[in-house]
This record gives sequence, structure tokens and C-alpha cells, in this order.
Amino acid sequence: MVDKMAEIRCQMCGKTNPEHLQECQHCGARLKPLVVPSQSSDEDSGANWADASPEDTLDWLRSLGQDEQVGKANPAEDDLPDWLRDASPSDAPESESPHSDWMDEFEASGSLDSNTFGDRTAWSDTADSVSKLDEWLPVDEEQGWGNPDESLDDFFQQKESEEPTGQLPSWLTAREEEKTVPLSDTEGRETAHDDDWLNSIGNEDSMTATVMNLNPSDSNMSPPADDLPNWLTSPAADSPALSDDFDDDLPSWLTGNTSKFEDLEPTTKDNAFDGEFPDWLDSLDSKTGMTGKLENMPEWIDDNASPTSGTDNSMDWLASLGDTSEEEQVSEGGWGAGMEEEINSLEKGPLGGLSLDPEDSFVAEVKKNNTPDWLQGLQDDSETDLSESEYPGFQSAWGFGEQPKSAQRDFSETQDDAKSEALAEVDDSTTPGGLPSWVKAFRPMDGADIATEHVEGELERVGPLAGLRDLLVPEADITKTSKPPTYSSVLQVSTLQQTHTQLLQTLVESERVPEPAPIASPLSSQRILRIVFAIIFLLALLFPILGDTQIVPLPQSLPSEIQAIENISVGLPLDRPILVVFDYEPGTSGELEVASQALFDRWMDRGIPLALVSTSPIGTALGERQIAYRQSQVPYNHQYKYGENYVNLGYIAGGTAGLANFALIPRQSVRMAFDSRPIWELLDYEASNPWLTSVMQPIIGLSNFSMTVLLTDNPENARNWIEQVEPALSRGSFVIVTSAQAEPFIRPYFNNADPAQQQVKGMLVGLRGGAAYEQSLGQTGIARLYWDSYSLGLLVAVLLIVLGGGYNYLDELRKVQRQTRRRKGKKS
Amino acid sequence: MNLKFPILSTAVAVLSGVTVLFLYFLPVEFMGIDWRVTFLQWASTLGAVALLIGFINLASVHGRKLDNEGPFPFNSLVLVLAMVITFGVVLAFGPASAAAMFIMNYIQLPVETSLMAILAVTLVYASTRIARRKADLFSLVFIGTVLFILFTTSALVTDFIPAIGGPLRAFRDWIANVPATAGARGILLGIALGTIATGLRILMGTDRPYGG
Repeated sequence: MVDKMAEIRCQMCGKTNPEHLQECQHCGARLKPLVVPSQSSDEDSGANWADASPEDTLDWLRSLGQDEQVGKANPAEDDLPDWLRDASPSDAPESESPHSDWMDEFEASGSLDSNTFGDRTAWSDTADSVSKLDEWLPVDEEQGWGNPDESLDDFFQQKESEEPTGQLPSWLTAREEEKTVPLSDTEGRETAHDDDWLNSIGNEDSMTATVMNLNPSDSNMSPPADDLPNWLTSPAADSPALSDDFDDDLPSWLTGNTSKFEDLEPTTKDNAFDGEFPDWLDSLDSKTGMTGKLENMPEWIDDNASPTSGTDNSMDWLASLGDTSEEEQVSEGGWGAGMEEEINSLEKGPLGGLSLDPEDSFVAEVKKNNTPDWLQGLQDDSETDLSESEYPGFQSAWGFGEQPKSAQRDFSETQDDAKSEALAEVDDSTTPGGLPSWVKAFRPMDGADIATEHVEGELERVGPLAGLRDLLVPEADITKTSKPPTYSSVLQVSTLQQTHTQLLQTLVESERVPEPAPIASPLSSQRILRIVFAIIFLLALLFPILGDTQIVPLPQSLPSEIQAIENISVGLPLDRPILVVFDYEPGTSGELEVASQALFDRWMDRGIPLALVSTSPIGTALGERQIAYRQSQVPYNHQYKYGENYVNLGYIAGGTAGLANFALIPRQSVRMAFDSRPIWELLDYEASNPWLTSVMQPIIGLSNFSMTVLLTDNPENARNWIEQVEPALSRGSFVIVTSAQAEPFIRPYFNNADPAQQQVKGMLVGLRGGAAYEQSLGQTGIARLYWDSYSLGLLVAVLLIVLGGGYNYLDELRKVQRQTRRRKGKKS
Repeated sequence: MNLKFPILSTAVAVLSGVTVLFLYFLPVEFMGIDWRVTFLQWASTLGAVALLIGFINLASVHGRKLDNEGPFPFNSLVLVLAMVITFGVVLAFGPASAAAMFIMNYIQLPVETSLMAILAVTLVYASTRIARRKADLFSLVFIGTVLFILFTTSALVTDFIPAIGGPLRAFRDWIANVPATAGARGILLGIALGTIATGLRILMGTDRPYGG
């Protein structure tokens, strides 16, 4: 032992090192942990505890409290929940004294025989197991601290369905071996796995035997301190502070139930214990309302206190817990959906696998005995009052109190079915081949991990889940009752974005605005040039007219087309009118009136009646203008009267169709005369019918006109008349007086080698034709007046085009040369 | 039923065209009526009504411009006033009345004649600018032809110097009678062919200038 203490075996390489070394001299691994080691020495460990005497065992039990004090130094304990931390001996010194007191009482009373101690140990193991289970069951703590006995019920219920020894943890099965294995053999177990001692507990037969036959002198009753989990080494469960703090954490509906359970069973006055109740009973107290006082202790506790009492009663309450768990859970339909979660957690939790085998004697004995009265009363009370008014806060919170009984009954049935299914799942989860997961998780772990799980999450203080931790927080979506924030509808843009927006808007709007044309300067060369051109033209045209010059001689030769007209005019009869068509615009009246002046004068001199017509609305007015001019202007002095010497047939509507209609039925197509009578007189059809005049009396059709003369400046009009009307006319009576610009399009109808096929018999073109016709007649008319101006104006126009064109050409050429020089200068 | 073209108007147009064309070649009467002449009368009447509708449409368009916002449409006002006054004067006093002829002789005719005079000056000015804008072969040919026609038309050139003016005048007549007439005949033949093609298309309903 001394040698062992002098040397330290490296846990990394397995080689021994001197004790004073901090690190392995072979591999460099740290030999001593950084944490403060527990005071549990090798003497307290399982190496020698089998040889320990009963006094040593009591020392060991006292050392539990010391371990707690030492364990306080464990940083992991800081993570313990408040109620556990408060239950530590350091914080609650009085909690240590009861523990020691009742142990001392055992010692002092001399009743520390093997059975008594064995019972006490077994009871202590069982009770500590419960408290440990409470510690190890974070799920239970979270889901239902107020109902720890249900965890125990599940534990034992699941224990019943569990496979025998082979499925139990080793620390439970070790209990069975304790009964048969010699004490000396236990030395070989000092290196056994932690699960061995669990397996020893797991064997109900051995547990029963152990409970019956445990001897204080048996060192196996006190497992080595190192192998013990923290919950076994912790005496804090019987601390009054623990009970108080735990009650504070409990929901009100659980703590308020305490007074009720105080009246359930008459307390056993002859209880051997006068001190406070252990912590594991405090944990039960949360359900049953027991405060740890002996007057509330059930009878079986009294039996346990008695060294001679049997163990049957000691396990009645456990069996009854296991028996009543299902009923109680089923009856508590108000637990709602939390029951299923609890069952599922039991399946995974450390209690879930502690089911008792119904074949075991322990369970058989437990089942033989009836449930204690106080538990029966608790069960009945839970069944009857839980759903009524015992938990008003819970009921009102979940609305159960408002439901009719039928609805509650239905809900309870639904919960029964759900519970049955959940229990079936729990039973199915225990596979017979190996350890369940919860047993594997049952091995003592670092208290820091457990404590960390306990302290994580906030404690629920209100509502049906009060007292639970690590709940899903529903505040994010449910409890937000504040008015939702209002966001501004104004578009938030930066200054730079506003600038870009305004720039884009300006560009888009500028596209809509038409760009004004550049205003030329009043003194620009082009403007001046136009004005100069106008002035030159005015001077060239006005000077011969105002000066009445006859510088330019008239054409001496008479063109053939004019000669043809003269030939026709000479032989015209005086009783049939000449159809004169005025189809030109007022703008060209200066040319056509001058061209036709001599021709009209010839007809009027002879007194040939005239019939005026037009396919243009303004043409009829131009015809009236022509007749009126001949009657008022000198040297013409004709006296033509409307209806007697001439008639204005008016406007032929319909274009080409109107001309065709006029060619076919002239009397029906033109029925209203164009004269100076007002409209109301013209509405008199008989009075205004031009065909009833003396002029039109010999005319039945267009062929009756002696001659048809078309005055037009539009080749299109000439073509329409030639195509639509000319066939209806008498052959060789259609002549055209036209302007110089329309001549090329009309001349083809005149220039025909076959005179029989000649559609236009004669032509008189422009001022030159009128001047030639005047010259042939020997008259001095208006053509002579315009002839000098016309000739001079043409010459001036030619000169202006030549001079102006040459100037512009040279100016452009100079600009091009200048630009070429600039380019060359830049390149050089 | 939604067809691609209006059947009724197309049928009327085709039937009318075919009837007029058929009666043009075979002028017969049906039920004592010369349907060719009847259709032509209807066309003439419709032409007159169309002129009246055009007049009303023009007056309404410029009348709406007077109601619109923005710059005052002075030209529209003058147009509407002229239309109303002329229409009233002709209806009241007759188309050949002194008032109507006053409007004709002292307003309409001088205005249009002045526009023709301005056109003459503008054409001369444009002819001088063509050398600056586009001095190429075609421009030279155009300007050369214009100058030659104007020069030979003027009696100052042809009649003052008959020795020079005679050949120039003959050359000018040759240009007017041969090339110009050839070109004009080609245009007229094209117009005639186009008119026939258009007539056939209308008769077959392929071309529907009446809408649809």
C-alpha cells in the first residue's frame, strides 16, 4: 500500500512514476488532476470497505456528509440548482445534524445489529436511490417535479417488465451476489465497472435478501466512495432547507396540497425516528404533502425503524407506488399531453428501466400487500379531486374546469388510450438482449454535467407548467400583445439617390419637349439672300408692267395645237353652247386666265353661248369671275347675261363617277344652277333648273355641245375628263387650255399620228400660248401686258440660279478646302 | 361570328362594281331602270355628301381646338370664322352673288396666287442652294435642265436673237415633245395599269378601301 502510494501509475502509458512528480516521466502526461481531489481515499474506496467493521461503516456514513462538504469544492457543484445547493451541508449546517443524529441514535440505542443496519442500509439505498433518481431525472424534474412518486411508479412498473438479472445494471446485480459471494471475494470487485453495484440492486431477489439479511458488519453494504455516485454520497436530501426551497420551486397547486395530505392517514406515533425526514422523502413530500415529520410517516417507515420489523411492509409503499402509478396517471386526465411526454422521458430516463420483474419475490411480496392507506387515500383523492377543484389554477388555465363532465370523461378516456399506448411503447423499448440506454446512462456521471442540466433554462413560475425548467418559450409568438410597429410609407432614399432620380426624371421629361428649331439670325447670309432674290424678282416683274413696256416681241409663229383650236372656233355654231370646264385652282388663275383670255374674247365676240361647269367647288366661281371680267374690263366689253348668253351648271360632285354620270345623263347629274339667287330661291327646282334656260335648250347630251374646252392645271383632271367625258362628246370638239407645268402630261393625248385617235384636238399652253393666240388674232390683250414681265422674270430666274448656285458652290468648295487645310495643319 | 372582313360592305362594293362594269359593256335595263346610271348617281350623291361631311369634320376639329387648353389657336379661329362666314354668305346670297364673288376675288384668289409667287421665288432660291447641299452629277443634270428650259422659254433669248434662239427653241420643243412626253406616257400607262389592277382587286374584294 505504501509502495502504491509512493508510486503513481500513469494513466496514459501505464508506467509507474514517483509520487512527487506532476507529469509522467515516460510520456509527459499529467499524473495529478488539476481539480481538487475528493477526500475519499483509498481506504474509503471499495478496496478495503469489505473489511471494514461496523464502526468503520458508520464512519463511512458520516464521511458522506464530509464528502458533501468536500464536494462543495467541486466547481461543478456551482451548476447545481438552487435547491440542491441550498441543501448542501455547508449552506445548511442543521441538515447535517439530523443525518448524524439518527445515525447516532442508531449507534446509541445499540440496535445497530445486522438486520437493523441492513434494513437501514437497504432503506437508505432505496431512499437514496429515489432521491438520486430525482436528481438524475432532469426530465422528471422538468416535467413534473410535483409528482415524483409517479417517476417511482414508472420506475417500478418498468422494473416489472424488465428482464431478469442479465438485463440489469451491474450495480443492481451485485446485490444478488452479495448474498452468496463471500466477503473476501468482493475485493476482486474494486476495479469492477460502476454498473456492477447497480446490477446488484437490480436483482430483486437479491435485493429482497439483502434487505432481509444485510448486516452492518458487511462491508459490502457500504460501497466504495469512488464507486458511489454523487447522489449516494450526498446527504443533502434530508435538509430542511431543501424541502423549503424545493417547495418554493413547486407550483402552488402542489404546495397547496400539503395540508390535504396531512390528513390522509393517522400518523404512526411510535415511529423510531424523531428527527426530520430524509431528503428523498422530502422529494416524495412534494406529492404527498408529507413534511418529513414523523407524525406523517406511514406505517412501513415505522416498521423499517424497528429492527425486528419485517421487510414486507417496508416495500409496500414501493409496490403500491408501482401499482398506483398507472391508475393515478390514467385518472389524471387533466395532465393532458404532458403525460405522454413524461412517459416518453421515462423510457429514456434512468427510471425507465427500473421495472420490477413480477416474478421476483420482491415484487411478489410488494404486490401481496395492499397499498398503504395513505397512498390509497392519495390515489383516491387524486382521482376524485384532481379534475374538479383541487387545482383551480391548472384547470382554469387549461379550461378543464369549464368543461362539462361528459367532456371531461371523454377527455379522460382519450388520455387513457394515449397512456396505454405510451406504456406499451415503454414496455416494447426494453429489449431482452442488452442493457437499455437509460441503464447505460445510469452510471455515475460527473456531477457537473448533471448540475449543468439542472440549472440550464429558466424556471417556469406561472401557469400549468409552473416549476418546470427548460421549457420552450412561447413568448415570441404568443405573448406579444403590443401593437405592431408602424413603418413609414415614405420612401427612404439617400441624397445621392434623390439626385440620380431627379437627373433621370429631367432626362425623361426632356424627351417629351420638342427641341426648338434654331432661330436664324435676321442678318444671316441666307436670309438676306432670300430677300435679295425677292426684291430682284419684284423689280424684274413689276418694272415691265408698271412701265407698260413692250420690249419683248410676241411669238410670231402659231403652234399647231393653237391652230387646231382656232380651226374649231371658227366653225362653231351660234345656237349651241360651248361647254367650258373650269377645273383649276385660284393660284394658277393668273396663267390660265391670261392663256384663255383671247379664246374667250373670240367666242364672246361671236356671241357663242357658254355653259360653265366644274368638278371643283371653286371652279364655278372662277368661271363666273372669267365671264364678269370680260364684261367689265377694257378692252373687252361683252354683254353676256346669265340664262340668255351663258349658264353656270355648277359643281359636278363625285369625281370620276360624277364625270361618268355627267357624261351619260348631264341633265340628271346637274340640276341646280350656279347663279346669284339666294338659297331659298334655288330650292325651287323648276326655277333654278339650268337645263330649262334658253342656253341649254338645244342640249340633250354632251354630244350636243359644239365644243368642250377644259381649263385645268392638273393632269389628273385632264385624264379624268379625257377618259370619262371625251367619249361622250362629239368627235374632235375637245380642247384643253392648261398651264405650262401640266403640258407634258396632256400633250400625249394631243400628239397622235392618227387624227381619228386624237383625244385632245387642240391645246393652249400657258402665257406663251395665250400671247401667241393674241398675236394671231391681232389683239393686244393682257398677254401682251404680261409678256415682258414673263420673259424678264424667266431670264432673271436663270441668272439668279446660275449666280446663286455658283456662289454657293464656291463657298462650299472654300469651306472644304479650309477644313482640309486645318486637317493638314493639325497633322503636320 | 367574327370574320376577317366585313361581308356586307364587301358584297355591296363587289356587286356594285361588277354591275357597273357589266352594264358598261352591255348597257341593258332591268325593271325599266338603267342600273349603271343609278349606281353612278348614287356615287355622285355620296361624293357630294362626303364633301359636306368633310366640311363639318374640318369645322368640328378646329372648333375643338378652340376649347382646348394651351396656346390660343388663332389659325383655327380664322379658319372657322372664314368657313362660317363664307358658308353663310353663299347660302344667303347665292354662290354667284356679289358678296360671294368678293370673297372669291379679293380674298381667296390673291392669297393662293401669292402663294404661287412665293413658290416661284422659293424654287429659285432652292435651286441656288442645291449646289451647296448636294453637288453631284444628278444635281448638275437637274439644274442644267431647269436652266435650259427656263432660258429657252424666255422670249428674250429665243426671239431677240433668232439665229441662236431658233435652234434653242427647237431643242426645247424636242425635249418637251419627246423625252417629256415619253416620260409622261409611261407615267400615264403606269397609272392606267394601276387603276385596272386596283379595280380588279376591289372587284375581287381583295382591296377594301371602304374599310375592313
